[in-house]
Amino acid sequence: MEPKLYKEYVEDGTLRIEWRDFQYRGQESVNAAVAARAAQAQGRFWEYHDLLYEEQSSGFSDENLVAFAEKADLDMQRFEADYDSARYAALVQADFQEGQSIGVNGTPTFFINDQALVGLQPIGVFENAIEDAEREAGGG
Amino acid sequence: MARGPITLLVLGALAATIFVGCAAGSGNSSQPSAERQAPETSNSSKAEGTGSSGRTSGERLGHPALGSADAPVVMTEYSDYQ
Repeated sequence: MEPKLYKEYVEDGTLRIEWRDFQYRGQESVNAAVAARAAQAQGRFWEYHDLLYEEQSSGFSDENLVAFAEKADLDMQRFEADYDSARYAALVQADFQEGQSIGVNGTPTFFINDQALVGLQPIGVFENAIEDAEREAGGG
Repeated sequence: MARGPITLLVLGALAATIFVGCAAGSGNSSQPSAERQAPETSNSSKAEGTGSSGRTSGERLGHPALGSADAPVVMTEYSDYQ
């Protein structure tokens, strides 16, 4: 879904996609989010994010998260230091709390401007919501 | 007898000084809040580097984002990796 929306709406400046961590499936889930933020610190969040989804089935043990970082061509010394220190855990936790405060209780949950879309939806649902939001914003 | 006008002049000058001081003070008190807000706004669009995929990643560790900070539509995705 994301690549299509990126091509259709992000590239022409209509849409901005913002990520929020909502890690509620246990410690490995939280660790994966912290590792992704450590990758973000090196400017490679989306590469690591994509790897996490691609490698979902192998699990998010510490060893795997480090291996993904190598695959994403990160500075390993810096990554391991950031990951081990749980330096970015507070960011992940803050996103989770923010989500809870606005009623998020499962993933994925999307907000297109003010419209909530809960769960995976056909691409057309997103396209319609984005175009509606653009019209409401006076851009279409 | 001459003390009356002098006292009035001194009081007038004092009042003017206090007024100018207050005006400057109120200006100073609002300015920092504007300065505090400005970096957040500008950083949200500038603090992104280009990754190898051509997409961008937040360098300042704001929320990871793709696309222009000025886009009329923002899709916020709450998700996990499992």
